[in-house]
Amino acid sequence: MLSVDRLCWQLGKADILKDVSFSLNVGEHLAVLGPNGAGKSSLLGLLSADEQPSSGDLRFLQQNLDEIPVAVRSARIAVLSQQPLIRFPFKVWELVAMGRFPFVDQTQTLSIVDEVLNQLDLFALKHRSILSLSGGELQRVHLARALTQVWSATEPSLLLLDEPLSSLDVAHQVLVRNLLTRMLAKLPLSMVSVIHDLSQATEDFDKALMLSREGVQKAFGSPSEVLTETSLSALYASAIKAVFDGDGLPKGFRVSTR
Amino acid sequence: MKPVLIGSLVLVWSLAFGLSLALGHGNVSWAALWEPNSPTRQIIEAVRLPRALLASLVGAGLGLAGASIQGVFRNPLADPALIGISGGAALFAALYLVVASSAGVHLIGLSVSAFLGGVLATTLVLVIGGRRADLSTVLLAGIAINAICLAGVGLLSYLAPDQSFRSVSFWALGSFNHASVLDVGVALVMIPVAFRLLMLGRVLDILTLGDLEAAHLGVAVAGRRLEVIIGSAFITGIAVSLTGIIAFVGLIVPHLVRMTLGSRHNTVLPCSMICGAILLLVADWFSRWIFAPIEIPVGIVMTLLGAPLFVVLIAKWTRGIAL
Repeated sequence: MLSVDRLCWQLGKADILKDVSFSLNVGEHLAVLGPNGAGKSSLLGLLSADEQPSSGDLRFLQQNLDEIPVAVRSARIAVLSQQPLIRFPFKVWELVAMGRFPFVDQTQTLSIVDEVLNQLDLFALKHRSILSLSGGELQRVHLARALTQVWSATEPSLLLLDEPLSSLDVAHQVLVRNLLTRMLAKLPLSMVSVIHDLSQATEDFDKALMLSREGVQKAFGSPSEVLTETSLSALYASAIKAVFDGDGLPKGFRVSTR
Repeated sequence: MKPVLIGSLVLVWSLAFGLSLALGHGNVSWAALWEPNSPTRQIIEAVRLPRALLASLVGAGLGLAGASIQGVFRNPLADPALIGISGGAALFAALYLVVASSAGVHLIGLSVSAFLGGVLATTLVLVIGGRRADLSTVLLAGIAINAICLAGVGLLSYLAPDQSFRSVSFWALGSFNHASVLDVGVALVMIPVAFRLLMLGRVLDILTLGDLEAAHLGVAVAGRRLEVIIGSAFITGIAVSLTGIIAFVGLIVPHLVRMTLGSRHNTVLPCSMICGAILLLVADWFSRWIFAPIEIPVGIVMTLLGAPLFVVLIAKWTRGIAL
């Protein structure tokens, strides 16, 4: 459904991404990993057509991304960026309902909004002003907005998430992870998430893509293939060591401070 | 709920409109209203009716322009006068008066150049700081542009050949003193543009999310933003060319509407129009009544009313309280 071939992106003279290639099928969830500044968010920017690739191929359903009409793209690709700052006191449900903007048929909007709010444990906040929410609540509201965009997907759709769990407490992290897994099973959907949590990478994801600090693709494949001791220690500074559990799956990092 | 809401606001407006016709100095005997050429009839027809109509149209326009500009700048502190749109319009209107004074001044030419000045000022603010939607940068850019424009207006009025050239204070402190039927006719030009802005309510909601987010939802950001800016500058330009700068209508009204009726632009835009008309009718009556029989410019009343609210909003904002 999504195929990326030798994708490069330059900003001015700086190479942000170099030779990124991967493919993703319907029902699969791709984890994008790498240190800060590796171009993970830039990759999402290219996938959501915010930016045009400098070279390489980027196809969604065999079609070049920039050749897909905006009306089709906005109904099929939903994006959760790192949070936009909004200064108007919209109510929670009003913000979430904006995810239905691309659709001509608005009859289902209110019921979809209610369902998504329920699933994300936001229903009690439905009529609250978004300006009164905590960071974690607001992150779930923005996630809800992105989810409403693909909630009734009948055709292959793509969900792009930039660190969707970064401000959530543990209980809500689990809630969101389970919800995303259920959606993948139920809907004709693929997902790409930028994450930092290694243990999550092996549990929730079908594929993993690792980028180096220079924006070069280091590995792509199943999470257990990609996240090995060698690849991880090459990626981060030597003072950081990846920790593996009994089954040889990465659990996280140990940091030696001196 | 929305038709009821709008209906009741229109009712309040018609009440304010009626009162503005009925109240004022000059002896008016209502029995004589239906006699042709009676003094009462002349006062109403030639003075109070155009004035009330102009106050309503300009108030509605400024309320709508304020709400639209706030949406498109993603900034609840924006106001056409505060961020320099009105100043730009006033400068270009004054420029037109000076340039065209020998050839004969035309009201249409005045309005067109005021509109151009408004667009230019808005573009400058947007270029300087609007893109990142930074609250303070937009306001600071507006202060600078405003200062330049008002200095320009002052300079022009000193250099102007004709002593009867409308004075600086007319532009800086707007008033309805000279409202005429012709003014009302020109103000009607705002209506089709206002209709177009009203249709963009849902798009403005989406634009408040940010450029990229709006694009993800299928909004052609650059085109829609330009449309809103040109529309708001057009309305502001017409308003300024007719009455001078009346500040804070576009700040106070959308703010009150959002606090009480919600933030969705499909509500904010029409309600800001009607409430703007109500506010200027009341402010105009107040400006005639407070030192009667002397009239003060309605711009002074609005600034005295709006500036303290602006201070409160800034204080809230610097303390991190959501606006």
